[in-house]
Amino acid sequence: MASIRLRNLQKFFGEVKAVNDVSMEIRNEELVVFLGPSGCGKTTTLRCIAGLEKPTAGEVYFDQQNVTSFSPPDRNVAMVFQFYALYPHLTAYENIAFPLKAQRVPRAEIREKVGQVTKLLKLGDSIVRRKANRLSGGDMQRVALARAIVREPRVLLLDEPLSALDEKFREEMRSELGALQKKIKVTTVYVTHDQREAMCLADRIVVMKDGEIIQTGTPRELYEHPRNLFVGYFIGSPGMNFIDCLFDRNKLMLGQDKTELLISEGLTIELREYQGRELILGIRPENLSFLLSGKEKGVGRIKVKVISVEKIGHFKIFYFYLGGRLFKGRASAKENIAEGGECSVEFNQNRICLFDKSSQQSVLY
Amino acid sequence: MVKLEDITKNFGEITAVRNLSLEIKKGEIFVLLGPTGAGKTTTLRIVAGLEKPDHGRVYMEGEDVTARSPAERNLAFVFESHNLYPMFTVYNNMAFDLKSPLHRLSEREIRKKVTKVATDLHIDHLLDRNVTTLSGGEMQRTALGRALVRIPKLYLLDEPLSNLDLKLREEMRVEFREIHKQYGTTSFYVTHDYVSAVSLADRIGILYRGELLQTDTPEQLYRNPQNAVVASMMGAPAMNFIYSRIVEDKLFLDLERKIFLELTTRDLEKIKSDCWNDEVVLGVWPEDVEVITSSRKRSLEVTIGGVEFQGVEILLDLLVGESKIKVLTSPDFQGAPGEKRNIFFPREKIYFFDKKSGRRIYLD
Repeated sequence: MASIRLRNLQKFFGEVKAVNDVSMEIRNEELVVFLGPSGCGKTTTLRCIAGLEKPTAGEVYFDQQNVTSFSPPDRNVAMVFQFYALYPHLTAYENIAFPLKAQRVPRAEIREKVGQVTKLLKLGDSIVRRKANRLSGGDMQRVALARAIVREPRVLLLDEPLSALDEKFREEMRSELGALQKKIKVTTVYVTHDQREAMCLADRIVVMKDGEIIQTGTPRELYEHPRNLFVGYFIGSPGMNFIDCLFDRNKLMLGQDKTELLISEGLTIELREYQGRELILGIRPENLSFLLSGKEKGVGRIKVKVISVEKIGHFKIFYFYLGGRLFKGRASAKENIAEGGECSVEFNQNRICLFDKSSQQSVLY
Repeated sequence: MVKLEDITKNFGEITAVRNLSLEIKKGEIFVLLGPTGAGKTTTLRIVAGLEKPDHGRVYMEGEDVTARSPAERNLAFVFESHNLYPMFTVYNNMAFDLKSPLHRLSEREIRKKVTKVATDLHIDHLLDRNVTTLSGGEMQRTALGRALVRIPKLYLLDEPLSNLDLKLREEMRVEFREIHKQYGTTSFYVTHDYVSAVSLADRIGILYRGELLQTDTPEQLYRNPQNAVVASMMGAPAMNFIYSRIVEDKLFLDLERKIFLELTTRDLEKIKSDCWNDEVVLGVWPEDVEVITSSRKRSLEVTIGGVEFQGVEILLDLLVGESKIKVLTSPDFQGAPGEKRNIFFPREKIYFFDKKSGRRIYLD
């Protein structure tokens, strides 16, 4: 159990700034997810927390204690990797018991602790007695997790632990992991590129790009109030729609052909200082309502032509062009949307995101 | 356009495909959907001519092609691992098949075809690049382009998008449908991914353990599954199944028999007559379960097991007796694990399946 503090952390590999001035605090028992594309610095940051990487500058604190110079064993952290790293010729039991054996814990105590942890991770007797190289991917990952938590570490670190598993199993493990972490109450740092995992597991998400923290917040905060275009893009599936726009008095001019979109008074007031500034509009598919043709008068409404419709169970995704860009809207399955037909689309004024074109920062919050 | 008639294929003692009959109409995208090991790839290979069936016949445009080799069937393949020629450029990969003497095309004609398809797939700027320098999505597009230049009778695709990340998969799906329409092609697409299947298919065939359970439009399969197995494959999140039993004219949803579903006498009689041993599996889509503020007639009390914010919706884990069900609700939902709520299953949204056979029980 520990709170973690990263202060101006930097890690350079020659010219490459893998981690560039990262500062943040992780509360005791919190599950924080570092989320970002390949190469954003999330794994390097995790390795700095583990002690596997020595930072070029900056410090790592566990509970106010500066652990920057401590080796991994001295930090009492446990780590789970993408590729389990189990001893293939040892049984699941022996793999889990290994760290305790290394600490010279008495046999009976080992048996008890391993028993508790295998129960927690739903590893049955037949699995526990099997050699690691004869286990399925999912079971191997469970064993790797068991081995990590049996030591009761201060901090649990996971580096893309579900990436190697197939889709269906990943979904199961996702919820199990979340429930597990809440039960054992260990401070956890989780690294992934999969935003669904982040949304499902995190108390807070840290979105990273090019070695820097772009935004930190709860899943809801990041989803509803992205402070940077990249966050709007990376989180949510299907992704946010984006288009260049210019603000002019009481409307937005979208895209190359400057399609006009009337906006609400509230939004007009907020955008006062951005008259004539180059902006980018972002809006999620579910915040574009489908209306029948002929209803395009009014604030936030535009007439469009539907290119195609995907029906996915209880909802539909409809595609249309606006200002030269392909947009996605989301509607309930009941809506009758014809491919090739004309309709109106309404922008939810409370959910329009606007970003400065050069800085990519939100101009609204 | 393509017809499979009573196909059976065995591998030793294992029957991979059993009595399979299906038809692929000209110009459609037909998707074969099923879990790993269901027999999808075997079926695809039989259509291709890469496998000979032990029983049954394959017809293309009315002709019996069962004995013909793949080359003679005029097909194009796009597989999971794209199988591009690593030492060639994008252009040469796409042009390769066209250079064969079978096609008798001039260099200029080849260049024209390749450039057109490459432009449609947004890879025209990559034509002179070596394929090993491309990203996953670009490679997949090249593989698709290589198939499209030939304008074969049929495209066979085996999980072509599964290695791509989510965002790219979404983009490729839209592009594939556009190209398909534009080129007027016919495609036979095999996958285990429900979302790809429903967004691409004109019709879907559900394959399970070598047998074709039901073939219909995605919409119909979702609304009208004939079997619990079909229902289990047609949604994300999947359909909720609650094991229930009829005892003394009530349908109980839990072992302690405290929770029961109120049904009309007529409905109960119908269910009883169509199920074995009064054991029924009740099915309901997560999006069809209504979460209500207070109890009312025919509502059930449940406990919240988990609340997951998914952006556009909230996914709830609810406990109904010993059963766990998933419910999709508005992102404004307030509640925490341990709290009690009331839910309601609209009658027309409940599916009943015979527990023993999985067969759907239809009420009037």
